[in-house]
Amino acid sequence: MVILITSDNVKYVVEKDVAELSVLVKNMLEDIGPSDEPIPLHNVTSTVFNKVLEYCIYHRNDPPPSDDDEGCASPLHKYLASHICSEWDQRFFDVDQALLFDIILAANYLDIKTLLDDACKAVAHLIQGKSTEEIRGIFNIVNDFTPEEEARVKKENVSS
Amino acid sequence: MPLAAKCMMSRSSATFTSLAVDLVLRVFQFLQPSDIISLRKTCKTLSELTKLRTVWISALRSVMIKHCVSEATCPFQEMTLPLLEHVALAPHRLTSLVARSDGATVLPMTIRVLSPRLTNAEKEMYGIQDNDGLYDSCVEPSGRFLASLSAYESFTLFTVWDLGLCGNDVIRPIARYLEEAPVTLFLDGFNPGPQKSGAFYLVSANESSFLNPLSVLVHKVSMSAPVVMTFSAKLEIPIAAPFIMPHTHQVPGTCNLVAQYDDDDGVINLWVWNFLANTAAAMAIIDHQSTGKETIQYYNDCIMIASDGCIRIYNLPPLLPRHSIVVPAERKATIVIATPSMTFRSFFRGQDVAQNMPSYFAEITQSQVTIFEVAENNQFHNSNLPNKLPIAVGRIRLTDQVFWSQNQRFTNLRQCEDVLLLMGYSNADSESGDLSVFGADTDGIFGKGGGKLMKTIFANALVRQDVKGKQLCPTLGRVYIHTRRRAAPSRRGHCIYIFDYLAPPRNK
Repeated sequence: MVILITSDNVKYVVEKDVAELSVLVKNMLEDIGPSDEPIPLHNVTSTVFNKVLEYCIYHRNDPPPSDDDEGCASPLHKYLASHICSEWDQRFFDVDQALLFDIILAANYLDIKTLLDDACKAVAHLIQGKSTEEIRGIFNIVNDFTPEEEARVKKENVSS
Repeated sequence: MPLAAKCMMSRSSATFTSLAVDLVLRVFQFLQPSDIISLRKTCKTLSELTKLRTVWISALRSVMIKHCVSEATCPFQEMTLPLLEHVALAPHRLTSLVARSDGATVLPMTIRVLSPRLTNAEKEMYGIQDNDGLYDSCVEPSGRFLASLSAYESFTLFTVWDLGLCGNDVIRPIARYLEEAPVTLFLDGFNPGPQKSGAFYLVSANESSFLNPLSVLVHKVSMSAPVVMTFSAKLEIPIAAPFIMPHTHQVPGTCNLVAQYDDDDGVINLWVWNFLANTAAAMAIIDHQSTGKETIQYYNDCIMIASDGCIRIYNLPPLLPRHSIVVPAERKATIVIATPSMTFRSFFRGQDVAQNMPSYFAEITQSQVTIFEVAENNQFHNSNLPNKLPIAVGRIRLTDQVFWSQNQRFTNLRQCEDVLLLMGYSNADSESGDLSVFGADTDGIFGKGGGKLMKTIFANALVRQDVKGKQLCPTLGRVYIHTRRRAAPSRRGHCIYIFDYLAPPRNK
């Protein structure tokens, strides 16, 4: 068991294999050696960590991701696998945007590659097939182009 | 990432644009090229990020994998940013064009004519005076490279041409190969080899005669500069009868091909050949007499013959080394799938067929198109059943707006983005004709609503002439047409046209 403490001082007792999905935690555990010392997670609040933990417990038995290009899977299989969301993942990421971005930041900080990729995929899903105006609406993006710049960008990038 | 860290502290203020650059770029990796363009127009910060080369290299790589385009087709490092964007966006632009032009005629942005000229030095080397002799050609699935055959007194000259990635590129020869074959060869396929081989394989064949056996030749084209074409392997099929011509089909991305020919008694013979390992197996079909209208679909473990309202599936005999004598095994279908009876039918296989991606083929009748997907279906691993079965996944009924006559012929079935494109032509009479592309959204076909066909007519003036070869290359928005002037001697009056339907990038 590993004890983790989030930035808002909430204490979690987590099984080792789940905790070690985070490369950050794994490295820290290796550094401190066998001890009951709690590990502080300075950049993660308990609200976000609840989600991270839910993901890690669900995916604890997944085969580790490989960056190995010579693997037996074809590039197309990899491509399809990397672009398709499972139903569980879809439900998991069906959260408000701020939390989704917080999950990305937490996954990046904790160094959990699969969670980071899946969360980025969920953001990409929000963008997919949307018009420029719709994307601005979704993410509250302020149009900071001057009318001339905007006209030029539009002219140079005819949508089809 | 000071900014990101700040967001972390005050939860609920994290936004897309406040993410660190590396995280935004990570999101980009999961976007389609058209989405990246939409993002470019939102604000200055995102606009700048969409102009990074790494974004487009990653986007183009995904597009190429999705469409099974060989990596040798697009050398990323040599491509400028506008060119990377152009090629990555091309499939999306083509499908938009088809959707937008439903029922209309679309003119190409550029028309190029391939001029099979030789330099003076080459003429001297080969000992020839003129540029005539072109008589056959074949384009690889992406549409960037084309192979041609020219015949001279005592030899055949193969040429590989680079047609470029957009319509204003200059067509140039990149490799030549002289084959001292005493017989007339015909090109039968030009496909990428296995992944990361950086090579394409060119398949040619000749008719059997009293003097020569029927043979299938494979030449390898290595695309890394300098491009080199070399002889790779030859399969000779000893048959006693003359004038028998094989049809071949290479499974793209592999070194396997199947050669099919009908003997004098109308028996279909199939030779499966791995031209790299030089192993082969042969079979004679004894439960189906050739009608000349069969379409043969080949996979690594089985062969499907579609004809007369049936799809017959045959298990393959094991491939043996070529130095042992290969005797055709008499075979009956392992399984026969009946398709609803109709008066007029033909089957077409998609060009994109590869062992590792969903493959579709279409059954076309006068009232509807049925799309079959070849699916893994042997869950029981029963060795008596084939591993793959065609399953009807959707039907599209023709309407008053989209219909075809007896004169309609189809040549291509390709998947581009989420659209299945069927290219065909009709030459109703010698003075008119259409080159049409019918597009159907896969969501529509596979969904319950039933699909709808869009019909776009692509430049039609050439169909009046005898069209010898034609292919739609949707990933580059290109059509290749090889015409031969009617009544001209067989090696005269040939012409190759390249039509590009997408505007080239403004500043390459």
